[in-house]
Amino acid sequence: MKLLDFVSREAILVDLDAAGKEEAIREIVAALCQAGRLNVADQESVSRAILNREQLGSTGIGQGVAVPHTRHPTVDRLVGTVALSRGGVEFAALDNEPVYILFLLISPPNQPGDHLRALENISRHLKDERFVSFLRQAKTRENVVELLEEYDQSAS
Amino acid sequence: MTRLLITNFYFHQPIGSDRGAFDPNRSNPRSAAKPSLSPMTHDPSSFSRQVEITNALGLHLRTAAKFEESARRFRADVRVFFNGCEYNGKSIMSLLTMAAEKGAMITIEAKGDDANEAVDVLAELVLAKFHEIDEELGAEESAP
Repeated sequence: MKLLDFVSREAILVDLDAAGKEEAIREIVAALCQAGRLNVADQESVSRAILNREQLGSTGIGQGVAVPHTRHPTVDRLVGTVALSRGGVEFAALDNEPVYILFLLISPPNQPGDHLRALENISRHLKDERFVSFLRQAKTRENVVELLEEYDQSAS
Repeated sequence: MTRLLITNFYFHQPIGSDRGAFDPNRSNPRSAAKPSLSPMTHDPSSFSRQVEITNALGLHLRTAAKFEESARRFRADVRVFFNGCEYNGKSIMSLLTMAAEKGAMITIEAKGDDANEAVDVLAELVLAKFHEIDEELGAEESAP
């Protein structure tokens, strides 16, 4: 699985307005709706589900990265995107640091394998300091897509 | 007699020259973890145990976080072996690169003065399905 198999290009955000967890999640889910990847009718339900999941434990996994996610019947394949924050989002991360990179994932309820492979892909790339540094420096959606394409190619 | 000795000499030529060559199938191409052939078993302070992941969702983020949290309570170095690769049991980022689904057989290894207890606690955590309510996927899969 490649990053651009589940990162929706049209929903990529390079400058989140939100500074808090709930606002950030709502902003990213809204971007997925605007990009046509989610039904607008399910926007609230998906945001709620992701926020409920956060209550079980933050998905801020450290090193300035969070992977908010949920399973939801509104999707029939893995849908997601990436968002960058310039000022950092307070995410109650495991290392208590703000997050600057958010990969948001929505999985069909009955495909746990794809969700695991997306997590594997994301964490494998995030272990690469150069990838993280380049991603944080990306200024436009096109910059992000080019970077993900480059890393997708080198991984295959 | 001389001819027989010569025959024997040729018979004992090494068969194939690629022994010891790197086997690309040994390493998991999807993972950046370093390949490892087998857990260390010779060290008296080293303990290991193989367990199967039995919760429906596999080693996802929440379960990996629980594993890391438990592993960090011990002084021992904790490693996990899966599919011929080695992972750091005290790093959620490393554990997530396993992509271990339900049914995966993993080997938990610890090395250090509390290694025995660490292996027991971590193996029990996996066998207890990480103390999560196991969500039944079967019902959803058969739903229309």
